[in-house]
Parts: sequence; C-alpha cells; structure tokens
Amino acid sequence: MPRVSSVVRPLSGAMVCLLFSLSLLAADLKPTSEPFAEPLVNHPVVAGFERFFAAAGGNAPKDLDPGGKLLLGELGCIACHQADGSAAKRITKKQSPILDGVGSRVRPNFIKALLSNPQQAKPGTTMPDVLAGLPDADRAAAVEALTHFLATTGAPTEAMAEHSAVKAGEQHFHRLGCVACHMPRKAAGPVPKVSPALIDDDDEAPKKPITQTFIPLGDLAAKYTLPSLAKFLQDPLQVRPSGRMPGLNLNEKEAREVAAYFFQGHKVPPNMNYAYFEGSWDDVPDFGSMKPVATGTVSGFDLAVGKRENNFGMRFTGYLQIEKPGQHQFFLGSDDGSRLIIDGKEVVKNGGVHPHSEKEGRVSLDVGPHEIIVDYFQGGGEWTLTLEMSGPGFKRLGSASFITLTRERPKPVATDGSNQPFVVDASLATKGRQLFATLGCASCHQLKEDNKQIASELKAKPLSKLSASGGCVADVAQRGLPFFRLTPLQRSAVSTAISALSKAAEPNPAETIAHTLLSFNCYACHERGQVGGVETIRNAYFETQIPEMGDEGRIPPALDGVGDKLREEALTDLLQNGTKGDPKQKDRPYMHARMPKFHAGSLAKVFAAVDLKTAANLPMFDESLSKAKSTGRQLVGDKGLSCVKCHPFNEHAATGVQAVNLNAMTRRLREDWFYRYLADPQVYRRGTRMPAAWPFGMATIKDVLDGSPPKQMQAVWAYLADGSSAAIPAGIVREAIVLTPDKEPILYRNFLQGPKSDGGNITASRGFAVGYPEGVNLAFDFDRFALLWIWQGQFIDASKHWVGRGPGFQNPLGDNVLPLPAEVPFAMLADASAAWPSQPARDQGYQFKGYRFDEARRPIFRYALGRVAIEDHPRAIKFGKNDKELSLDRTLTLSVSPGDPVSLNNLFFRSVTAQKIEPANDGWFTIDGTLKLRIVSSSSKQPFVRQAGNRFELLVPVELKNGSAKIEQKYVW
Amino acid sequence: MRWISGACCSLMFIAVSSAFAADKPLTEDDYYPITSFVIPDNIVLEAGGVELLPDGKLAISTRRGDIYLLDKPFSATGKDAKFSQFASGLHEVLGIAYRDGWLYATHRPEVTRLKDVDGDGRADLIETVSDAWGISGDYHEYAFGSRFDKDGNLWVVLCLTGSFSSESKYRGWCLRITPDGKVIPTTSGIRSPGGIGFNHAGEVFYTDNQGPWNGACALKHLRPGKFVGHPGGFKWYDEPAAKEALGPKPKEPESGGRLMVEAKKIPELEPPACYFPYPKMGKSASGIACDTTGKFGPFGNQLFVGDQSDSTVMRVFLEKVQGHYQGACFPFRSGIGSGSLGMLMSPNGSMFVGGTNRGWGSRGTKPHSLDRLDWSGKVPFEIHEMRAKPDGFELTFTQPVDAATVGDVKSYKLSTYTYIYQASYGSPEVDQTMPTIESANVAADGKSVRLKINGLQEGHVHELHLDGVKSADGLPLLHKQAYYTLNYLPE
Repeated sequence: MPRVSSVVRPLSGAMVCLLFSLSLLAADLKPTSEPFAEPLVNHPVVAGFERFFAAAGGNAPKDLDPGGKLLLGELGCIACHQADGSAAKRITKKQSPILDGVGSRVRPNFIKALLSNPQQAKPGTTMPDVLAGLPDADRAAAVEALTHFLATTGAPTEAMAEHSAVKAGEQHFHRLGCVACHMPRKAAGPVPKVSPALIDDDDEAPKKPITQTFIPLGDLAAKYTLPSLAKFLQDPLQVRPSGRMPGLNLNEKEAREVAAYFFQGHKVPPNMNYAYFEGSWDDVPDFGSMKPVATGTVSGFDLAVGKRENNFGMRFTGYLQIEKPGQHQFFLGSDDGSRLIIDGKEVVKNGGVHPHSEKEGRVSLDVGPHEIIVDYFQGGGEWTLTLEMSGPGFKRLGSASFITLTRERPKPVATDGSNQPFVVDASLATKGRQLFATLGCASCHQLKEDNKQIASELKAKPLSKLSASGGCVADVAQRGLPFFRLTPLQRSAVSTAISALSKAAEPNPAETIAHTLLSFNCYACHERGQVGGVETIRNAYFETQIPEMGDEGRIPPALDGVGDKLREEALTDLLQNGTKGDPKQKDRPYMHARMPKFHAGSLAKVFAAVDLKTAANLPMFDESLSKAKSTGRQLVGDKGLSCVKCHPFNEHAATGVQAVNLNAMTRRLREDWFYRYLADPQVYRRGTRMPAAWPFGMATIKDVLDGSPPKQMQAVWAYLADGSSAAIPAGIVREAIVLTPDKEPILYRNFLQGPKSDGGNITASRGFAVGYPEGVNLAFDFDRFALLWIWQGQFIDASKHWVGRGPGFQNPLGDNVLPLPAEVPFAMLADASAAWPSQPARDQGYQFKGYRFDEARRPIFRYALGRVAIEDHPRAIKFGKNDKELSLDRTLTLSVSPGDPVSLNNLFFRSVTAQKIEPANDGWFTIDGTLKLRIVSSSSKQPFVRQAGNRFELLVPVELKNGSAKIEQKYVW
Repeated sequence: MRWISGACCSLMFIAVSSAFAADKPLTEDDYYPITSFVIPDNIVLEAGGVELLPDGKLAISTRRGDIYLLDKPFSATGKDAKFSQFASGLHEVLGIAYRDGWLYATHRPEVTRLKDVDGDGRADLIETVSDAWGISGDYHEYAFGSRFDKDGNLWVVLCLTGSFSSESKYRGWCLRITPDGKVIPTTSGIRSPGGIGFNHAGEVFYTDNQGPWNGACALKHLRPGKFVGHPGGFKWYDEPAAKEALGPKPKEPESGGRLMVEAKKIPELEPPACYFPYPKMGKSASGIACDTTGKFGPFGNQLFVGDQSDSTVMRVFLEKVQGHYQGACFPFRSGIGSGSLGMLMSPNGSMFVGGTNRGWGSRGTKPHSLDRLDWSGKVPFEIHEMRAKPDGFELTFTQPVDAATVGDVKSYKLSTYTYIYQASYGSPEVDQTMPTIESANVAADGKSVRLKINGLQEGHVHELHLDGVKSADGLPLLHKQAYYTLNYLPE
C-alpha cells in the first residue's frame, strides 16, 4: 500500500506535489459565478489509482500490483473474465449500473454519444468502448440499434431549474461531501494560499496538477433531465449498486436543489402558456373574460415576456404533474397581486396591491396532470411572482418544474439532430436487443425484460488464461474487442497484476480493508494507517457549524482502530446506510459532510477482525445498577465531570460547543474502547478537545465511588446505556435565574433586546437594566444613550447570560413592556423644526460617565453631551389608593461648569415619539392611549408636539439658568 | 451489569497506588500546598480578576459582574475568611487593579473605576474611565485588563468577534488607557485572550488561545506597534488614533505557511514568546502572574500562567534573544478547584488563582473557585532555567544534580516541531525533527548542564524530556518536561 502524506505530516514528495498543484489551482479558484472547468481526461479515472499511483510522483510505490488489482475490479474486467480462487478474493467486483428503466433517466442522445465514444461523452468513465473493434459502418448501426433498444425502457421527464433552488444546490454540492470525489465548481470559503516556503524546489516529483483525482461529471444536463438527475441523486445505489457513487441521503428537496444547480441556465422547452394583458387594476382581474395583448409559450413564470414594467397582467396556464397522491400545499408570493387556480378551483388568492408577500393554500391532488392557472398583475414599482409547493415527501419546492405545456409529458428529442420527438423504431430496437446480449453489454449491465435478466452471450477467457498485455487493454483498439483507453501506467499496472495473479495468496483482513478503502475511495475523506485523508486541495470545502471545534468539527475522522471503537452493528449501519441527512439524527450534526451510504456493511466484520482489542480492566463493582446509573448521571452533569458542557443530551443543547450527543454513546461505542478512551483520549484521537476526565489515572472527584476511576467510568457507562431514555443530566437544562429586587434595586448590564417604539425589535449591546423593589423596571442602552424600555412585574432572567457561555440578547421578563424612543434624549437643533438627529450618539458628542447612588441605592446615571453634564435619575414610585398605582419618575438635571460660556440655544429634550400625543391638564399628555406622561420643566418655554414623518414628537425646550436646568418626567402606563 | 477485564485500567491502579505508597515521593502538594477558600452558596465567584487592597482585603471580580471582598486572604485554612459584596451590575469583569483609592475594573463594555466614598464597604461612585471600543452583542467579545504599568496606563486586550473576526471597533487589539482616559491603540493581532500581566521588568504579556492563526495556545509579548498574529482586526489601522500611534497597517500574512517565515516578511509580526503545546501543557491558557517577591520559592522573576481547561498553573522562563523574548514552559501545579482564570502574586509571595468552568469545561470540577498557592519552604527538584545557546541549551536546576545521570545524553529525549500558521482553526504539530544531543556537560557548580545539540530548529518548539535526570539526592525531577520555543537562535 502506498503511503501518502496528508497535510498533518512533514513534507514528503507527495505532499509537495499536492501543494504545488494546489498553488496552481488556487490561482484559478477565484470566487466566480462561472463554475470551474473540469480537466479534460481521455482515460478511465479510478480515484484511488490516480491519487496513489498516477499522481503520487516520487511517492508512488514501485510495485504496481495493488494498483493493477484495483483496476481489474474497478474496470469490471471480471464481469467477462471469470476470476477463480484467491484471485477472486483479491479483486473487488464492481457491479455496473443497472439499466432497467435507463430510458426514463438518460436522454437517447446521450446514450448514443456514450456508445459512440465513451470518453468523449463522459470523460473518465470506466466503461470501455465496446464497439471500438467494429468497422465504422457496423459501429454506427450498432450504436443506433442499441440506443433504440435502451430507449424502449422509458422516457425522461423535462423540467426547468428553479432559480431559488440553485443557490441551495450549490451549497449542498460543496459541503455535503460531493466534492470529496468531484471537482468543486466554486472557491471554498477562504482558499488557503500556500506559502512558497512549503514548496520544495529540489523535489523531483512531476509538478503537474493532480486534477485526475477529481472524478469528472461531464455534462450532466446532456445526460439527464432535471427530475431524472434528482431521482438518481436521492438514491444512486438503486441504479448503481456498486456504491462507487454512494448516496448522501439527500431528501427529495435537496436532490432537486442539487440537480437544479447543474441545470441552471439549461434551456428547456417551454412548459406553459402565457397570456399578456395591459391595464391598471387594484386587484387580480378575471383574465378569462379579457382579450390578451399577446400570447405564447414560456419556460417558468417569466414576467419579462411582457412589454411593460408597470400596469400589466399575466395568465400562465399548463398542467401540474403530480407524482404522489395527497394533500399539497401552495405558497404564492407576488408583488402586486396574484391568484392560483387548480382544476378550476381557486386555491390561493394573494390579491390587492402590495409589496412581495406570500399566501398559502391547500388542495388534495391525485396522481397525474392537473390544469393549473396562475394569474398575476403589476401596478407599479417592484414586480415578483413565486409559486412553491409542498406535497407527500417534499417541502417547498419551486412549482414550475412540475408544470408541463401539454397534458402528456413531453418526449425527449430525436437522435438525428432534427429536434423532433424521439420515436422508438421497433426493428432497430429488436436488433439492439440482440447486440446487447452478443456484444457483452449484458455481461456488465443488468437489464430485465418481463422480470428476467437478459443473459450475455459473449464468452471471454477466464482471468487466469489472459496474457499480461494486449486485448482490451492494448494501447490501440483491437478488432472485435472492447477498448479501455488506458494510460501507459494503467496498462503496466494491469499487466503486473495479471502476471502476479497465479502467485497471489488469499488476502488477509488488513489487506482486504486497504483494498476496499481504495476501491470505494474512502481515503478521499478518511485516513487510516497514515494513508489517505482529505487532500489539501479539498480541505477548505469541509465545513462545520461550530468553527470552535477546529478540524475535529469538520474533517471526517481517521479510521484507525474504528473496528475497535464502534460496535459492529453501529459500524455496519454506517457503512451500509451512511449518516442520516437530518442533522437531528446525525451523530456529528456539527459536521456538514455526510458519511455516504455505500451498502458496504459487510466490511464492519473485517474492521472488527483487524482492530478489535479487549484491554480494559475493570474490577467487580458492587453497586446496584440503579445506583450506578444515578451516580453516572451525577458524574455526567455540571457538578460532576461536566460532560454536558460539550455533549448535548437528546434535544438539550450543551452549554459550550455541541459535540456528539450523549444518547448516542452506548449505541455507537464499544464498552471496552470507551473505558480506554476515557482514560486517555489523546491516544485515540490526537489533538482532540475531549479532556482526560481522570488525568494521569486519578479521579478529580474523590468523594464519588471512592474516587475510583474505573468505578466512576462504569457508572457513567451504566447511565449512558439508557440512551435517549436516560434521565436528563444535571445542568444541561437551563434553569431560570430570576433576579428579584428586594430591599434595593438590582443593576444588570448585559446584552438586552425588546420591542422598538416604532415597530420591530431592537437590541442593546451596552444594555443597562435596573429593577426596582417597587416592581418597576427599566433598561437604558448606552450606545444610544436612550431609555429603551420600562416595564412592570418581574425584572429579568439572567440565565441566558449566566449559564454556559451566555450568548444572545435577553428580553425583559415582566409585563407591560413599553418601548420608548431609541435615539438620543437631547439634541441641539438648528431650529425647532429641524429633524431629530440619527447618527451614532458618540458621534454627536455623548459620553457615558458612570453612575452614583442615591440614599435608596438607586443609580443616578451620569452622561454628557459635549460640555453639558447630565444626571438622569429614575425612581419607581407607588401612589394612589393602597399604593396600588406605579409610576416611573425620572429627573434629568443638566449643568455646565461654572463660567463655561457654552451657548445652548435650541437644545431640546425629546420626551416621546408616538402616533398620537394628546395634551391634557397640569402638564399631562396621553400617548397613543396607553402612556400618561407628565412633564415639569425648569424652562420658561413650554413643551410642544411636532410632526416627524408619520409620527409625532413631544419636545421640551431646555433653558439653562445659572448653569443648570431640570426636567421631571413622570411615566404612568 | 457486565464487567470486563484487561490491561489498561490496571495500569492506572498501579500508578495510583505507587503515588500513595508509604515512602511516597514528595509531590506538588508538599512544595506548593493549595488553600481553597470556602465560597458560600449564595456567591457565584467565577473569578476573572483578583487584586490585593491596601487594607489587606482581597478583591475578586466575577463573570457575573460582581466584585467581592475577602477579609482574610491569608487565612491558614481558607475556612474562616468571609466574602462581602463590594459592587455588582458590571458586565463580565476580567481584570481589576487598585490605585489611589479607586478599584479599576475592565469589563466587557469599558474600563470603570469604583470607589467606596461613604466607607460602608460598598462602591457608591462608579466612573467610566474609557469605553473607546465596540461591542456587538457577541459573547466572545471579552475584554481583559491589566494592572497599571509604570506610566499609570492600563492595558486592555480585546477578543475578536466570535473569536474569528472583528465586527466591532478595536476587536483584536490591545489598547492602552492612560491615567486621563486617553486611548492609545498599541498592538494588533489579538485573537482570544485569556489573561494579561507583567514580567519583572514591567513588560506586558498576554495569553492567546489555539484557533485561527494560532497553532497552539501561547504567551505573547505586547510591544507597541507590533502585530501578534491574527490579521482579523486590520481594518482598525484606518482609525485616526491607530494611524497616529502605529502608522500604516502591516502586510497581511499568508495562510498555510510558518509563522517565522512570515515574520521575516512582516517586520511588525512579533512571534509568540512561548507556546504551550496543545494538549500536552493545556488547552486554554489564561491568567498571568510574575514572582517578583522572592518569597515564592526558587523561581524569582519567572512567569506563572494558568490553564483554564486543565485547572493548572504553568511556569515560564523567558530570555531575550535577538531582541525578542522567548523561552520555555514547564508544568508547575495542578489541582486548581475550577478552571484557572484570574491570577495574582501578592507582595508576600502568595499566589491567588480564581477559577470558573462555565461554558468551557475544566479538569477541576468546582463550578467556580478561589485558591491560594504558598511555597512550603521545601525546594522541589526542577529545571530552574532553560537558555538557548547557538549549539544547544543550557539548563540550570533548583538543586545540585547527580553528575552521572545529568551528564548522560541518554537521560534526555529531544524532539522539535512547529505549527502551520493558518487562517483555519489551530494546527497539528508539523515538520517534526529529532535532533541529536551530542553531549551533556555538567557545570562545575553542579547545578547546571550544557547540552550540545546537532540539529536545533529555528522556529520550532523543542520538547525536552528529562526522564533520566536525578538530583544529587537521587530524586527525579518533579516535572520532567520542558518546551522551549526557539524562534531565534542566539548569535
């Protein structure tokens, strides 16, 4: 097995080669909307061979035998050339794609192109040019016949890419794991620039890009239609049981989004009719009774086919093709109005003139085509129209891809370039059927007729009788034989392997693993035995939701000792079925890449055979099981070993990073390994953040189970063994920490949020809340210098900030939260009609000076506006019958230093802004019917109301007398 | 329940039992005993800062925004000392310092000073000294504050937004706050600090944590005008105050290289004075204290640095090579009650260590703690100093050595490695080498050894294991590892 350096190791030849090619590519990997072009290849690409033999440069092994054996399996040689004995065990059989229903997936034109020249139609394909050995005339006829035959198995459905799906598809493609094998189509986050210091100029490794390790995708839109690609992506193993294209457990929506990404800009035939109207309406008119200005066909809900930007209407009609019966939900969004009619019934009305907004409707639909009408009108300004749908098995997909122009789904186009529908020629198909059997297509590809597989009539020599060169792997096509178009290196590898076959012993389990990891390209993501791992060039595409977890959070784990670590059932399930797509069911929800589904569950036993150790030594433990569980729960909790700081439990988030869920431990891990791992995690996962809970073999908690590490570990295991039904560990559920002022006010400076006086929400990073014992509370924001909220009842729940790391903004806890203006309280205006300033308070000259306390330990806030010092002294006051009424009284005192000649003309206090301000007697105002405000000012000028936009402001003129001024404001609400 | 048997955990027992054998060797406890203060249930101490006041009380600032006073910080048992609340309602106080009747507190939004005017034991005048930096509401935007430098300035290091980028003013910077509240932008390149403090010469150091552009946790020297590694806050070079103090922004480092290679291209880049290899020394470097008292045992003028994750105190010896501080770290003391954070060396040679493990787990299992370390008067057998030489290292020891073992090259094992200097998180150890120790010559004083080494690696951490070394009394070293960050070779 070749040894290849991954990024973590010192430089070696291969590393230099990798890095050098990265630097070549890095220059190309500029963020661009143009997808990166795939490299041109003209030979079969087997990722393991390219990476470890072809591109390994100086590090490539001298012995090509393992590479040759890899090719004998991956090229499907043993489908025709029977392998016996130990050779059969040394070569992994790779089953070719199943061709049942291939016509419903693949366009006839692509079938024709692939048969004519496989490497041109699908660069890098492992399918040989089966017809290469035929004379040219026979060859063309054979291609045509086979195409017609395969087209008898069905016809694909067309659909167009929804623009809204493309972006999501791009993201899935680049971070779920597709680019572990395929060429990325855009730059990753920050593509690491490689320092020239890392490139060893003395190395003699060939300095060429290693782009062959990317398995080319070719032109997917030429091969598939959007729905057929989506269907394939959802479960590739249905068609390709070999698992070489593994499944990523994409749901229908994700699969369609990825497909849409590859079909963006792909022109499809029109899929609906439109009628264009001109006029001015204030609701969706009845277009049915109106004469359109123009009509035609269109791809998708394209509003641009009209001639105007204002005062026009559109009616789109077509057939909605429903695949699964059941309740369907429609989301109709538009600016201005729109309406959805299905089978003559109005399903959604989103009428009137409005900015883009969405309305929903539901209808139960049977399988098959349904008449659909979407009406739309535009008055002025922006114009948008979107229609998404949810149905059985999928959520919120763009609906246009389900709509067809005619009741019947359209047929693919003919292979003669005529743009006519493709029609199967029965006699050609019959001839194709024969060729399929005689040419050996059936040796590799399963195709069933009436549930019976077509048998191959091609007879080939058994593997043991093959000569080491020539034949299908010769450097030029041989008469009557398939042609693989191998590179010289591939040819010598195959030849080495064939020569060595007779001497080959049965593989041992370790060799089987290495060979399998190579065949399935597991090394693209995983390292094992210092081989493989994520290549530098792809590294940046592996992303995490929790960057603080570092590489552990984003790079798939090394497979060293995996058969020792994981329970056989868990490993079998992973290799067989991959990780679930739903992050809630994923073992490593923080990692964006998914473990694919390989249908390779049987490998788990081999891993176990190689890796398994039974080494943990645990004394008998005389606790009862229930006692052990409760002790384990205590140890896991925040007062114990604090596992809950990093490990969530069921739906409860951990208080720090979110590592693997506690409920998954005993389902995944072997007990014996678990104990050894806990004793020293670094031995099993180098560089892990997982701390040694029993450092140097000592318990940090001495008073539980005699401070015995093995007993404590066993108790933890006993507790975890209950999985998701275990009792919730202490400290993971955030308990409220309600701060309740008793004898004196409580001050709480933190990140706060709440309603905004003119609508919406607002956050305050320099929030400063005060809870008064009387049951009145307030919060300032000393970025804005504004009293943002006053409220009654309970003060605040500090647990958001005082449990765990404390992220986020906290809301007032109590009731009757009244938002006040979120701008500065005082401003010097040019004149009484000038707008209230909105620039940042500090830019206006505000400075926060701190606070002092009054006799009741209420804070008196001190701030300044330029040279004017301000003291802001709020007090909670009980009044009325039995002191049942509450007010907040706020005294604002302004002063300048004695002798300061500062002029304060047109200095105002803005008391409040509102939709309605009604003056009442004795200095009172009623604000929006909810707040009563009384203002007493030392100034001789009276408060006044003025209009500001669609709101009103209550301004209090400020006049300094003897260097000071005072405003008292009482809030009753 | 099913119990299984094997080798691993029995090894663990052997280790445990030998440590407690009848003629057990002396341990950290015997040299530097820990006194843990008993914290009442109604106090959540989460100690971010510790300061001794002129009246002999100890002030402790907390992550919940309180400041407590401890009446008997030198209590023999820690059980009879009482806490009282001096202030509350601040916002994660990660640094306190006393001066002229005021207690200065660096917390998330500002530097604040507090005074007890009426003498009732509680602060009643609270003044903002400086709030010249931004906070966005991201919890990671911490502010750590120093004590006063010789000019009366406070040094504040500001964590990046989310510890990754700089979305608020001066995030990723060190600022100096002058006595009159003026702000001097001082050093850029901060990522996620864990503490700040002075060495014996009054030079300022802070700890930064493993993450982007930081291959491992490290102790870094804060020099005005320098850049200490993370370019995330470079945009604030455009601020007028930064322009005035520092001039134009440095060249951006290239990701994926080696820090000392970049340092040759970026004159402002000041390399870490000492790495704390992850996770061998710890996972989260925090508070800093320096023994300038001469009363804390044999390690005068050396630095002591906390590790929050491992609940330890590490020891650092620094020397100046080619004008830059660099040196070695050694394990010193484990067993802090919670995750070590705020630290203080008192004038009488007691070290106070505050602890918290909220949000970041720690080996110490208490949720919060206050511990005092005192020197028992017994001198542990330790490496005293480790100095780089052009062709090796010179090590001095705290006690006379056994010339046979110390003079034997087989008593040592030396390896070197460095880190990838990169924009993505952390780094494995890379570019490993195994230099040869060619000779080990014990000096005439019998307390030091000169290692002659073939293959010193400039820019690498040199990890030295001294498993075979014995004192003249036949004792092994109390801590057998040293990690020297050799940024520069002495000439």
